[in-house]
Amino acid sequence: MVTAYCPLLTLQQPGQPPSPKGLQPPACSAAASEPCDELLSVSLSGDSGKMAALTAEDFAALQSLLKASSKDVVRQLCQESFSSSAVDSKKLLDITCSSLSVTQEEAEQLLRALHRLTRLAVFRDLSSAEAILALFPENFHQNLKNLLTKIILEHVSTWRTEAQANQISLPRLVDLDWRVDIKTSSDSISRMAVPTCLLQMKIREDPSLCGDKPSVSAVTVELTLRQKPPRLEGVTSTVACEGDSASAAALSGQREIRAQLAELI
Amino acid sequence: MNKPWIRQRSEITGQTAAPKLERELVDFQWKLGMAVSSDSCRSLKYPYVSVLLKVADPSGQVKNKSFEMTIPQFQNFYRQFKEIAAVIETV
Repeated sequence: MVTAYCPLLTLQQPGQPPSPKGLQPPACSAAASEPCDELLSVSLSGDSGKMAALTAEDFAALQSLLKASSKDVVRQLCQESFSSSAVDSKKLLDITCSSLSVTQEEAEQLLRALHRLTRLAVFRDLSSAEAILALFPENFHQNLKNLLTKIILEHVSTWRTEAQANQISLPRLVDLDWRVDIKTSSDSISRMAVPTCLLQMKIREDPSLCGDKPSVSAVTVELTLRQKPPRLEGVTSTVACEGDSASAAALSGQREIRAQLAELI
Repeated sequence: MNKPWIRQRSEITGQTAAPKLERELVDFQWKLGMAVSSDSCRSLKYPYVSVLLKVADPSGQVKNKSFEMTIPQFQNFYRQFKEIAAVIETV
């Protein structure tokens, strides 16, 4: 049992998922000879609150929502606070202050708590009311708890999709344009009929890594008749085999793709 | 690796020559992956296709470009290539 109180560290409940970003040996543990039984998480600003459990302060901060003039205000705040940029957004902070008539500090704590709550629901994929209700402590305001549960239940699938679309990945293909030309002559050949294909792929890097530079870059390549378009049959047949795990959308297209492939090859 | 020059015998001059290619696709590698967990979703079944293109510029220097597609994006990608193949064969 860690007895030293370090203002930079928040104690997690035992049994909560550990936060890999936050696991650090306690810097100021008084009983240094004792092993640390409980998981400690470091409270960092920004997005790292995704997996950390909510603290008592978080639940206290959520009470500010009781000042909302309507359920729609609460709903709106939940939606806005989910996104990664929410915690640093000055604009959202100001809107929260004015609509709830709270101080900057209270608004900041509320947004951080809502961000953590919504992210936690998405992380654990909580799709039932019981599961979401279980996140709240016993003595939490009943009506607010029910309202928040209802809102989260409504949005959890949309939020999951959003989270998956924004998770780390290689740069993403955003557009594919192509054109088939026929080369009819050049400085070295007076007459020919060489089909060629110009392919342009627009690729988007993670914008947060690009700084001021544009995040979308274009790659243009030329394919000639001797280079057939890439052999994709390996990919599509593999996708078809991973029956249980592939997405339903992929599966439904497979039969069509296999038939088309037979023609292509 | 041999550059796939296209040799054409000109009917009039009898010379062999090759039209210069713009940036040429030299290699295409792919991988089908499944994301099972991430910092935002503990349990996932998120399939994706990642691609590595090797492109040679006219000087011969080869550059790599990697990117990722969702399955629907990949299916569209595949469809486009099928169209290109169809057009090139008939031209």
